[in-house]
Amino acid sequence: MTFWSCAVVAGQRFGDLLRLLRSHRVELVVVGAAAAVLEGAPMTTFDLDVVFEPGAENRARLLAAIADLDAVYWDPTGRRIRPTDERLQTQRLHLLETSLGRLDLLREIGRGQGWSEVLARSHPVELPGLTVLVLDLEAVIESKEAADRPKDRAALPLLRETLRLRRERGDG
Amino acid sequence: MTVRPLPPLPHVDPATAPRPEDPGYAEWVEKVGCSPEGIDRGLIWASLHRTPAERLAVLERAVNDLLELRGGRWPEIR
Repeated sequence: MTFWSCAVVAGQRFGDLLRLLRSHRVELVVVGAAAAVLEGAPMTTFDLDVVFEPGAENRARLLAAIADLDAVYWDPTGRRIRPTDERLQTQRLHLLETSLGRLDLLREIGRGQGWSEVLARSHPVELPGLTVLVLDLEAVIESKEAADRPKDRAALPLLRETLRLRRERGDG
Repeated sequence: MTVRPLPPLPHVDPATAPRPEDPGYAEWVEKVGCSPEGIDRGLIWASLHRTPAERLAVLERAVNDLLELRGGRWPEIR
């Protein structure tokens, strides 16, 4: 039977998603539009994009966290496909639906920038009850330039103006 | 969320800025308040004066309001 249902009952809860991931000690960097928002860009996004440290121990912590989140791949046919360690090792991008909203797990961004490059261009941001690493706005812009999809190009004027005003304000 | 007075945009001096009755005021507002691509600098400036936690809370509310506007959450075919 085919029908429309509520995939994510609780809506999108960015803060709670991050808290849950960090409670499992998952090493990650927030990237994409959510990073841009944390850096001050007044824009919206329907998902949380994170790059995760790809080592075996972190993958195990990540799998435990996303099991708690009842995560499945966003699948247009409605199949409930769960992430596995093998998939985390081999796939570059994981678009997941979780009990706390959409979560995109990435192994790299931009032009093949993996964990070490992303980590080097991140900084800690304080949120209630946790500290998360967030990709620098300049690097978010570079990743959007590299992705070069219409939606990335559309976001660039706002992101560049935000970076310019941050610098005027002395925020780097 | 606290309401704080927002400082003027960079390089804008309220003492010397034109007033609504001055000729060219609307054009001046548009030139100063928006980037050449039409990006509203005032919105960005306000966002930059919020904390990251406040920004995330605003995003969360906005996204969930938009989801509600769609008549529910994400549609999923079963």
